[in-house]
Amino acid sequence: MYKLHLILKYLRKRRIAWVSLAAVCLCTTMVLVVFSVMGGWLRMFRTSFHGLSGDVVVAASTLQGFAHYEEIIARVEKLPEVEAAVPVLQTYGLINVDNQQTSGVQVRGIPIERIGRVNQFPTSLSRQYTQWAEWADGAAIPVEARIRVRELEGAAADVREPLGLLKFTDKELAALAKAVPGAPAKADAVLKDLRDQAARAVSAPEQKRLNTEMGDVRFAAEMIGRPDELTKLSARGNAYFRAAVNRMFDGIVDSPEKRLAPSDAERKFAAARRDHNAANPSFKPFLPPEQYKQAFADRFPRAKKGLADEAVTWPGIITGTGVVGLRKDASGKMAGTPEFYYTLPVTLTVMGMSDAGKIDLSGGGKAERNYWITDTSRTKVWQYDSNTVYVPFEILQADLGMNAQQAEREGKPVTIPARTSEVHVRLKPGMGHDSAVLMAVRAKVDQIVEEVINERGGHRPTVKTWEQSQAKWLGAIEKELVLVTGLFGVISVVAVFLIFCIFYMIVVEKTRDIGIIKSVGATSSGVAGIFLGYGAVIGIVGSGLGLLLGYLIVTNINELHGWLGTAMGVQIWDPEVYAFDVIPNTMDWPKVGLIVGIAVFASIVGALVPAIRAARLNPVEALRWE
Amino acid sequence: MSHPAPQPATIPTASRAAADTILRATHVHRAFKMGDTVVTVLKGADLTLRRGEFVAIEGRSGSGKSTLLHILGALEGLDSGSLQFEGVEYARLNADKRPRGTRHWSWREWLGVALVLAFVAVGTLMGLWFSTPLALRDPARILILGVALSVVVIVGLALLVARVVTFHFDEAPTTRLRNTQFGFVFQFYHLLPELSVLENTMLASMIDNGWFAFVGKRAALRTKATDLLTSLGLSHRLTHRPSQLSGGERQRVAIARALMNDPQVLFADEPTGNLDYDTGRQIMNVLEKLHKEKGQTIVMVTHDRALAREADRVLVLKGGKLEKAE
Repeated sequence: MYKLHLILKYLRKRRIAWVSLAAVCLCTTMVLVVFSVMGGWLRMFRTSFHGLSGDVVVAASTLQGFAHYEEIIARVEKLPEVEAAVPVLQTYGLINVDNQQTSGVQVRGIPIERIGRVNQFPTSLSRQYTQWAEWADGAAIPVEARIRVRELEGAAADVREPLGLLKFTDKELAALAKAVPGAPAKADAVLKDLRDQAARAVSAPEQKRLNTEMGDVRFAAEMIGRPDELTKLSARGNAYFRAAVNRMFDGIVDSPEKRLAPSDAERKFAAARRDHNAANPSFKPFLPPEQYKQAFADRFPRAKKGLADEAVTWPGIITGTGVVGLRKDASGKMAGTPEFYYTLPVTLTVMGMSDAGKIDLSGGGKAERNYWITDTSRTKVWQYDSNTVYVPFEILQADLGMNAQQAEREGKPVTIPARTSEVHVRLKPGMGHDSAVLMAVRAKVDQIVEEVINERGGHRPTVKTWEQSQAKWLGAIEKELVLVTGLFGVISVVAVFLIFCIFYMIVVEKTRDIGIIKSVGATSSGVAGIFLGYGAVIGIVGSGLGLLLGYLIVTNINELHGWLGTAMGVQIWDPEVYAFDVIPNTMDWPKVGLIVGIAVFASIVGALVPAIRAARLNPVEALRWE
Repeated sequence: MSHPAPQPATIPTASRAAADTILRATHVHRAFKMGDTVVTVLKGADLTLRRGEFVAIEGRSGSGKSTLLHILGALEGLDSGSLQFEGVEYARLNADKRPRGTRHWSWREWLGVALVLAFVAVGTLMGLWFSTPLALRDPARILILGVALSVVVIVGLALLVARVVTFHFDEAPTTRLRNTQFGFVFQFYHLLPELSVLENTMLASMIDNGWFAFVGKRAALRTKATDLLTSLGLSHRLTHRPSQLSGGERQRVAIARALMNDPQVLFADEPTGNLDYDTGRQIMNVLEKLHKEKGQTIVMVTHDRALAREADRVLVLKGGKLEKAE
């Protein structure tokens, strides 16, 4: 009893011990943050790479690919462990966006209706999946998205796809109506303020800005009086309108974010769309044909008349979010949703590749093709998102001349078989994480490939598990994780020495008190217990605070990083180096427990030697201590 | 029906004297090493203390009065001689004069050791397991490394802990005696500066009672301490810190602390040595009152003859031996 009593007293009265508490706290935080970020990074690598590829990958070592993949797929899919096998084309190309910027990209041809069976690609699509998922989770639906619905309402049902939901809700209309009485008065006040500012404004640009703002406010005030007019606004007007409305609504009704939050019905609808789209991803251009025609005419005013009609038939392309220079904010979200993005014409140039590995543009394959962007893919792996585009498998296969063809060789007609670059194989649920199963299936697939190539001829592709194909990356990160955690762990040992020094000091300072306690009957182990308990309390409280601090830092690390970037111009996490555009922000709780446990243990160890010294003090000598 | 023979109604004089003897010291020797020279302070001091007796020990400065008191109060070891409290030997010889003894560990101690070992071993293994990259996670290698590391840590810990534990076992009986049977009053009060007057008083009872026992008896012990302090005229000082008290008040708090566990013997080491005459008188009055009204056995060391004369018996420490004062 007296031990606890004295521990608590000393903790309150001996402030010097708080230094060791702070040291324990900071060291725990440091190790936790490093471990969580690095461990999270490794975990993200594993899940992302695993999510992007099949469990087992059959890949050609060259760009010309390998033939007879249909037969390989048919046989592989008969294996009991295998869920599905899907071919993927992989090549390089030049992309030209809006006839303005050209860059080199990786081109992947995917059979999109089947790709979801072997990897997580459909869930990376911003328009078809991510936005619905966010809305289903209650994220605000932007004004533009709602207004766009109205514009497109007349379009055919299948074209209306992503926007069918976004009507003004009754609740929102009621909110608008409710705002009407107050809004014009507020608008007048704002207008008067702007007018005063304009009178005082000296420079011409400033006056112009104020005039524009006045117009917007007046405009918004009128609009609020007539909510049905909202739907007639042009996309360009919307941005002004939103800014103005936000000012009008300020203080009258809920914040814009809250006002734009989806209703329960909308959330349910969004969830349904999310699930539907995850199962049925599509390359299909989704805007009404007139809009594509118009976009084409706007971009190429001097093109021949028939070409605009042809533009309606262009296929869709999905680009990585970083490909066309889209800006992102600190949390990795695209800044704004550029409406016009989906009306940008894209030209993709690829090089046809003959069976023998020669560049071949003559084989009927069209090397250059126009597309409409129908979606963007954000896999969160920067090396993919920054330079990969996805196009329909059949189209790319034909463009590369890798489809089945009739040809004449040495006077005889022959069928040149279709080729692909990769076949991704997904195992039955739960099996993909078991290395032993993976290796066994890999051997079986290898056997099948061997048989097919022996029977039919052609280049032999290699067969790897997903871990093998990413071994270089994963291995390097694992070693880095150990190295960094080890280094920071060693640094944390300093805290043990700090505790030792401070406790030693306290013991020296309290020598006479120890004598007193012993003279009234405390045992040596009791005295040792006081200081060990003191150390334990320091460890528990310190590591507890460290855990709290670490948790706050780790869970907000992207915001902190964004703030560092804007406030000081520092960018520590370069997505090009670390592969991901967000910093991992989750904690691995079993390991957190281990780290906290070690921190408490270390604190006790730091207090051990001083405690033993205290215990061994002779009471009479201790009492004489000056 | 056979009963044990009834005890004789009258106890022989000799054994009555023995029953009355509460503390007996025989041939107490104690020497100090001061660099190369050995200073022998006690050269066979003998003392027999009867229950309810007030004995004053007088002597010049440096004659070894305090040392004798510390030895009697089990605060300090002796080189040779015998100490008996209520007929039970409690002399703790100094480490270099002591034969090596053996002692059996209780199951609790074994359990404690086993838990520590398990904790260290499991912790080391877990740490190794989680900090090893997946590719290098070979259970056999980790087990060998973990066991080796655990052994190093355990041996290191054991060496450190053993020092405390052996010390603890050696002194365990005497600490109990100090806590429950003896009370100490020092010249310099020796109160804990962080604790209030009440907490200082209750310190001995906190040590005496374990966690649950103390919580159970808390109110009773509090009342007892408050009563003690009130009887010493300190009822208005309960929550004050020692630094806020005068010297006389501090010494009265020290007396209250010494009396908290109802000790059989109260040792007072120059209790008035640091006080002015009037305050010193007050403290003496307190001790006399204790002796007369409650029959408290007191051994007081002082160099002040006037104070010493107030005791039942005055002894002089001269040449390392106790003599009756003239």
